[in-house]
Amino acid sequence: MSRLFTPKNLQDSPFAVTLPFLVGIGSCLILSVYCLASGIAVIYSIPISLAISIISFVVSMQFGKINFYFSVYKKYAFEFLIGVSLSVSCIFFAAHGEQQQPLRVGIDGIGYAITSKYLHDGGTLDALEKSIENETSIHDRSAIAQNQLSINFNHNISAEFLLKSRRWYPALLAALAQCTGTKTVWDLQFAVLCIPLFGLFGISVHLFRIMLQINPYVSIFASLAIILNCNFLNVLCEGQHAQIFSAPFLCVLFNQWIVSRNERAKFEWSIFLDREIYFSAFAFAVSISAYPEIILVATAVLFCGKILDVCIFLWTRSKFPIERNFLFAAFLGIIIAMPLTITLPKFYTAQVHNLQKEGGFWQPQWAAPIEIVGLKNMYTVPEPIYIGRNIEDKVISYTISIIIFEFFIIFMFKKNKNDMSVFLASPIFVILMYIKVAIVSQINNYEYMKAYTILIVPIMIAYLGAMIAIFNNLRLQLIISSGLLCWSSVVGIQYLSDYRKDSFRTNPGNCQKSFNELGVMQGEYIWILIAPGLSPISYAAGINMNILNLGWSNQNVLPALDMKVGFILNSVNSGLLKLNPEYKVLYHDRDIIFYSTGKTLRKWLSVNQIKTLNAESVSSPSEMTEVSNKIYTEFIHNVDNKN
Amino acid sequence: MSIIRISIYILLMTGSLAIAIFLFVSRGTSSTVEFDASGSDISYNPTKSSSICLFENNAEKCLYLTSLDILLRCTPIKNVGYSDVFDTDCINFGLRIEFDSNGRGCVLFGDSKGKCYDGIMLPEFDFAGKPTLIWVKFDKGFLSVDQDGILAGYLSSFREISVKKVIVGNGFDGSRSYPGTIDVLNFHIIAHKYMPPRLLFGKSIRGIVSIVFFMIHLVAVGLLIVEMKNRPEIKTVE
Repeated sequence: MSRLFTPKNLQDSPFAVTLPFLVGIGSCLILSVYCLASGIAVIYSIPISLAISIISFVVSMQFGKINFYFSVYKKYAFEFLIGVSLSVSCIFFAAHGEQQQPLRVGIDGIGYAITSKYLHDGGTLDALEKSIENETSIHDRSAIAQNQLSINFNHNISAEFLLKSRRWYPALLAALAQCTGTKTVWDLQFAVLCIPLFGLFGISVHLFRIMLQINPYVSIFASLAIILNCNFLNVLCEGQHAQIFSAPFLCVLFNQWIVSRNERAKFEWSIFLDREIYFSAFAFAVSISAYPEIILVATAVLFCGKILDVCIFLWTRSKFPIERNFLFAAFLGIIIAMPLTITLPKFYTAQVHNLQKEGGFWQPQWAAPIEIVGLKNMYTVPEPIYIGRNIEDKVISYTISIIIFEFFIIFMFKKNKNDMSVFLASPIFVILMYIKVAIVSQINNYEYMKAYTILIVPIMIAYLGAMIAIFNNLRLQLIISSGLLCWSSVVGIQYLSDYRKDSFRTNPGNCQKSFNELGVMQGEYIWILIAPGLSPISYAAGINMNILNLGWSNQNVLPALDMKVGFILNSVNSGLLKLNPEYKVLYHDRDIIFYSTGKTLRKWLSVNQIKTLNAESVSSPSEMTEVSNKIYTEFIHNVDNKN
Repeated sequence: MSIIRISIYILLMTGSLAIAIFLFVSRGTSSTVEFDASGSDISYNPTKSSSICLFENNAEKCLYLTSLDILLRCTPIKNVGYSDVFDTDCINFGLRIEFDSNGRGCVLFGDSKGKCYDGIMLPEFDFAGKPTLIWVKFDKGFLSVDQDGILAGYLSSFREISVKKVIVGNGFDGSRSYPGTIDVLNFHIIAHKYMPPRLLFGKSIRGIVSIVFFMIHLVAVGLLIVEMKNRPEIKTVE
């Protein structure tokens, strides 16, 4: 299928070796989106995808093009080998050599696993809305999408991803998990990212070669430095999977944008037979399906590029590029992903509105260019806090960053003016984002971090071009570029090593297995968390969790009155508490213990308390705190009395 | 010889810029504010006053914390509800340490606009009616809190911490008051006003030297460009 699609400019390119994998997983995502939107179980996307692949294979055979890939793999065997080894080792090393997602600060990885599990278990969008409606007695669809209403933690998270953020990437994970027989998705989701990493490596090698005309081996080094860029690795390890998944597809769009700038100004009907358009449309559809926010960034970068084009046109009076084919492909991409895109206008309006609000969490620094290009790791503290810089850090960071900036200016003066907007658009967008976040909105630096990590490939191309532009000697270029890129890769490996030490592992799969053996039904319990940190929440990736004291506002306790009350304790705390032997241990590992009290929530509460709950359909946060505190106090009291 | 010249230019370019930035970002000492109340007998008693102010800055728009050393002896009543032992303001204009009824404490940082941006949770303190020594230290971006001589929590942060006033005693409203006694055994604070070197009027030698080094840097960049232009160009591999 990828052979039929591959545009001419990518046919003789190292990227061609990664295409079958990317096209396969991308088409599977689009089919999953169709299944999700039409309420069909996402597993059906796999046989449909297979059928399309077989038909494409037969058609390719018919046209005698099947040998093409053998020649491509033969030609780019070295790139293929490096790309596969790099992507697999990154994932394997970060995941402690296990098939699991490591956890440190970011909670998005848990969110994707919870949402995928919901779809994996047969959930649909309608069923999700109905469940939340029943649990909250709220009938407003937009309020349901805003989540935090239901006491069911899993439903809140699924609503966040599927209804509010419209990131339907979990549909692909659910389909793959069903296909491979994995039960929790948790075991699979990190490993799946090997494919987009491999694709990103391929497209980076291609872009470095066509945009900078550098030595082929330096382009491989540069792509290594992108995959091992510590900011990019941080996005990967902190669970922002949709962004990682869509990264190679965004780079494909970037490549197609560059190609379309040289198209003929005169319109010809033959463009409708052009594979460039259909391939760009496919990449657009996959990107928007996995991570709709990325299209906001792509549009903003394109807009920056067009403004620069106008300036350059007014300056030089040279040819003004019209990317007609690219824009047509974007339109076609919107049509391909229609089940999702028809719901997006409202989402984008909300996203643009939310840009003034603080989202995400603090990164340790406002990254300077030295940190953006991966020459320095700023993620030395495993906490979501802003550290700031001491005097030594300021001197080193600002010195190197100013030199990078100066070299970039020199590079721009040396560059052909028609190409300037391609190199300038992404850095300018990142600078504008910094001004917007740090000076105008004065919010945390999360959005700024998103901007430079999404555009990591164009930025690295501009950076490498800048660092070698001043040296017109091949040997010096090789020494400087290889030195800088090797250093970035070493910093990235050091980051992975630190991450391994800081992160912890949980095992929702084992917990689910233990529950199944004991006959514990999903959703049978209401839980009270007495364990701080991420660990209790991460188990929601394996089991259905109704959490009483999560602290979110307006959660409705009423549907949980006849659920059994359970406690989730830190293993260390439970040793200190001398627990009541009547309380049954449902599951325990080195981090956590799940206890069942055996009593329903109704039995823990007094008649008056239940009446208060009945009087208002939705309990207020203070009432909920009172209820959970009462149970907690009684629990401790019982423990004291009986031991 | 050309490689040696290029290396010298790169070294000169980087070194001069590093010195210029060092001189530009390092602060003068003229704006430092220091206050020491060590040895004075300051105590807070809820029956006599709502709170006592240990430090207040009205002269400057914004002062940033350089170092802080506070030793408190707290004797609270058990289960008193939410209590603030040490509070800078009703809005968090600096450092605030709070303790809840379970003895769990947290240290919160605020910025110059009163917005809380950072904090660390401390392990549980045992306030069972007995005097407890709380020692808060901040120096060179490192904050630590000790309880009875044992390290209870720490945070490394190089972010500027604004400090407007330091109050001990009653919290910022009635629901979070502190009905115990606090003896301030030691209080020493150094704050500074952020002032980059004055470059325009030449009043600061540091500023002028910084500009000189930046000019040297620009000259080195220019020399590097000229050096590279004089070298025979070798085309890169396609």
